[in-house]
Amino acid sequence: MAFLLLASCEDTFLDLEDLDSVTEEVYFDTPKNFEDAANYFYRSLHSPKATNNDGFDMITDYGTELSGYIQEYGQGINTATDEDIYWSNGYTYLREANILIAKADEYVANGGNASDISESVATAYFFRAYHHFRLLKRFGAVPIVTEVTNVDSDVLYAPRNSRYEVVAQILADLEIAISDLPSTATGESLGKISNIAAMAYKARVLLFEGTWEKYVGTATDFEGSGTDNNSESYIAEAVTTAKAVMDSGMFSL
Amino acid sequence: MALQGQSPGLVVNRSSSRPGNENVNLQIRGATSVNGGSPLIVIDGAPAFDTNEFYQMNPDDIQSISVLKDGAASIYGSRAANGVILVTTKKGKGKMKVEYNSMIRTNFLGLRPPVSTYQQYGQLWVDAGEQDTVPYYWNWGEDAVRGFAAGEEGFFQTVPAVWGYNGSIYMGSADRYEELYGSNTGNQQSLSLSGSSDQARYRLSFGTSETKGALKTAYDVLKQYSVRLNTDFDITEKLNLGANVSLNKNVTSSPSSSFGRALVTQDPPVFPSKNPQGQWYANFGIGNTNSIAGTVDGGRNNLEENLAKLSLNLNCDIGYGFSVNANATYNHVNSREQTTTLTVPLYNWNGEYSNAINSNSTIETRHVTKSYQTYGSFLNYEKTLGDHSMKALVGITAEKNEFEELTGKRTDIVDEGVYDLDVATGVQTNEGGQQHEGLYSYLTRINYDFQEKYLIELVGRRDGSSRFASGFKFNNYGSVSLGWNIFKEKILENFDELSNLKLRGSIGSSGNQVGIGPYDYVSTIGTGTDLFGTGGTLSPTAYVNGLTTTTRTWEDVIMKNIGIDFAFFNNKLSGSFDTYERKNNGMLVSVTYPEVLGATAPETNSGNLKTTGWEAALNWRGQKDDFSYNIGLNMSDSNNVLENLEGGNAIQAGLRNTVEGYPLNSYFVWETDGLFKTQEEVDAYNALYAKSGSEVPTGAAALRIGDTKKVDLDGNGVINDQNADDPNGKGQGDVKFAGDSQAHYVFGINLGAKYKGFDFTAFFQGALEQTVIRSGVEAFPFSVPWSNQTTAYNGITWTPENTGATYPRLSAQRNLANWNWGNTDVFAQNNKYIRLKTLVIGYSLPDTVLEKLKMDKIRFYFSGNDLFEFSSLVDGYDPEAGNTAAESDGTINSSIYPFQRTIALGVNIAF
Repeated sequence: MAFLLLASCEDTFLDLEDLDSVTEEVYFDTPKNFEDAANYFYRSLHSPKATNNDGFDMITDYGTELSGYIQEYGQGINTATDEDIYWSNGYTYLREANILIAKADEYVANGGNASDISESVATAYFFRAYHHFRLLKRFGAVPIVTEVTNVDSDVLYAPRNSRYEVVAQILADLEIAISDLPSTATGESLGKISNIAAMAYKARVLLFEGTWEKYVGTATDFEGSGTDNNSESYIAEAVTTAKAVMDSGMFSL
Repeated sequence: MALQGQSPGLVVNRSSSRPGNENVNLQIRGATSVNGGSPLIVIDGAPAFDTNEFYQMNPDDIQSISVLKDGAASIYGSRAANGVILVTTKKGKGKMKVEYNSMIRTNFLGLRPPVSTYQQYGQLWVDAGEQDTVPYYWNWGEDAVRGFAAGEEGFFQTVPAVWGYNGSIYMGSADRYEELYGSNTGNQQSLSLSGSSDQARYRLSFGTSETKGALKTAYDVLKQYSVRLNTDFDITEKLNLGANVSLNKNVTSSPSSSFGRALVTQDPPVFPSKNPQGQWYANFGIGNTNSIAGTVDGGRNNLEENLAKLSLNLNCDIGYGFSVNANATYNHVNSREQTTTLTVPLYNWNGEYSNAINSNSTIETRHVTKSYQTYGSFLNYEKTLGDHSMKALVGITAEKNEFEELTGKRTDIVDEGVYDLDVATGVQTNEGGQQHEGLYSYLTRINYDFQEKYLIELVGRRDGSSRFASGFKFNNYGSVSLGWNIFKEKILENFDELSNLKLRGSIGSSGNQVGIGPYDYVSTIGTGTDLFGTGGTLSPTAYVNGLTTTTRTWEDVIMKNIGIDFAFFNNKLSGSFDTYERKNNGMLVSVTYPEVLGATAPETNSGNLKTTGWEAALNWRGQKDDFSYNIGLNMSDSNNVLENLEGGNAIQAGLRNTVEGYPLNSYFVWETDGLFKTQEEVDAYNALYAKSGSEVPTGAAALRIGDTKKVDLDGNGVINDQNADDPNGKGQGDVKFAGDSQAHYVFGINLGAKYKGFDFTAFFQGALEQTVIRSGVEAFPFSVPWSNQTTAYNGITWTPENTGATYPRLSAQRNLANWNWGNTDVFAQNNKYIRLKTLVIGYSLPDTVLEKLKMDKIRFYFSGNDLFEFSSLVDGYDPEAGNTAAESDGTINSSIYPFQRTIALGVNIAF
């Protein structure tokens, strides 16, 4: 008798769900949750704690070549290592941005209103561009990640894309971001990205790549990576974009 | 601790002697999985909540403990992959009996770790300065260290340096070890009433105990109270109901600040704890540590746990060989923990305020509620037909574990003697949390024997766990055990000397789910906050917790065992020998993927760990007139090898947890070729190896005569521990394997004797081999310059007067000291030790006296624990200090909280 009682309640012992966290499957269903997820990206901006908790202050006037943490850089004897936290963290941040973009597509496919979440999605595109650019500056050509990676994704083992492809991706993402970001970020949103700020960032990207291609060219990039030389058009576009930022009147010195 | 050495193959370690915080670790037959796991403890037939429930039991309630290691263990539950410890509590029998036991004990400090005193500290710097090419006295300066060595106290002018401590600082003798630790007393009482009638048996017991730690500046104590009532009733001849209730209360109280490294290791012994005005003196005159101040005024941690347990057991004999057994237990734990960290102002020698310990004071209260229920119901069948007899059992077991916590925390509490959240005025934070998990199993067991000579037992199980996703929750396991009572065979009938000879073997499988969290198969969202807006308000943030996979499932553990039991001369000489192999297939390990993945990949069942070992036990019992004695020896050893691990750790110098092809927690060391003898040797070595990529120190820390000569094992012309190009190795460069951190050839010796009213027992325990490589700031002289230093190597290091020394020349240059000592084969020690764990001498009053007093028993006894030891360790640390086999290594118990020796006097009275 006790037997039968026990035999029937297998589920009470085995079907147990998480009690104190929401699951990913159900979370991305309101614009507010998209906004919260977008808020999370900001901690990855370049700040003393973002990539390496240690010793960032050593790169300020507090540090000298005698100081332990940056002694190797100061004395010019730094050796390249097998691991680099800018690399690992860069892809962690890219994955977060890609998750939000993928969830946004699902949201719209399930009947959600795209304009409700457009600001959060634009923020994700901005951060995707931001981190690709940071990787570009440090490593040159890198693999581009535009979908949510998993342990069996091809991109894990793919060769790196050429820097021209990376730059094209960055600029494309920034375009999407600029078109959907709000024009102001003041009051409660002070600190978040606005489209004018994104335009200023785009100008910086264009200037970097334009001058790189003009003065460094393809000399230090790896073989077979393309022979486009966009230096003229990038520099020109950088000028116009920067002018647009200045003309917008949103910022002043 | 009474379990140590009782059963070969069971290794008990504790890594601290702080009461309530001992981190006791039980392991049966070595490691099962890289994820750890401890044996299942079964108390009176039902699984215990966790190992804590067992440690907190009143020891007088325990009747017997037995350890199940092989296939026989698998009937006990899906947690039995790590072995089972069966605990049986005392039941009542006979006429009513009252027993009272009382014990008072005193604890003395055990081995003093090699921390230096004021003068030893100074002398060490002076000696190193004499040996160094470029003398280096860190911030002290040569005058100050000579002053320390001579025992002078006063203001010393220190030398400005990177750390900024300069100026004139008062320094004097301050041996923190002496100031912090001392002896203390404790006691233990228990009272029980037990008895039985024809139809019922009962036992009621009460117990209290108080145990203190070695800290004498502040109260560090564990108090325990327990009540237990065991009853069982024969309702009818065929129906029996047992009901046990037990209540436990444990109160732990200890200081909350300045533990860990800050206690004794962090600061050199040169800062007296109080200045002439009686205020707490800051280290360096401006620092923020003072471990006396922290333990006295820095706040307390008080934990109170209440455990209530009810267990019911029903046995019914249906007839025709069938019987039914059902049991249910319900455990409920309520605990309340309050931690205050208070600001303790520190002053310089002139009485001016300088700094503070705990610059932010906080108070935190945490309430936890846990409940654990288990249910089991079994149908038994027994039948004997002539020479054949068989038993069968079919059953279902289920258990559920629930946990809930609530924490409130506030900052800015001022110490006015009242400690409650309401008194604090600062920022408030709170935290919740709840979780639950369950197990459900179907099981069956069939026993068959022929003439009691040939025995076979089959066990089958189907185990389910809530930790896995649907479709992966269940797994099937089973075991086969065979036994052959050779002793009962006709050919041995006339071999009178033989009293027992049995051969046994078993193969079984069981599941292990230790490394998995309760909801790991579900991808969850974590939340946080970030600052935005002109006013700087907190906005919520959300993120996906990580990659998950639904395909994770139980680790499969397959255990094979062969053993033999024998006894001679009417069981006077008896013993057993077992050898076993345990394989963990599908061990949960993390696999390394390219960083482009952007997340930590979930662990997968892709590791294989193989453990092999043996156990032997031998006992001799003798009697001559009134004198009886027994001697027992047992020894065991186990070795494991991580056969397969995708993406295992690369090899580097030091302790590596998971390297494919090697045991868990293996040490890798530099091979050395002695010390440099001549300057030509040094110059030739530097010419060959001092270059980029090599770890040879240069500049002020360049090699000298008497320094360690490391061998270029992989022959690539560079001294380092990474060589990705080495086709033969695992990229380990010049380091080689030097053993694992587990203790090997662990043994126990039991001695006992009785003569008239006297009884004597002694128990020794030890190990014959264990590799220990000390790590931590005090591992070797000058591993770091700013901490206390070790005196373990005084007088045995190379000097021009002592060129035959084993250990390298002293140097205060950190790079050179690390080159000389860090992870070299000479620095690895073998921890061979034997320790007198228990000694008990008792005297029971003779029957003639007892009859007059109308008592059944009065016994006085003296007992001692950890009384002495012999150890082959060079650096003088306690041999058990770094012995936690499950996860760590031979590191210093970095808080240097000493182990204690105990002497107790007690009395047992029964009437």
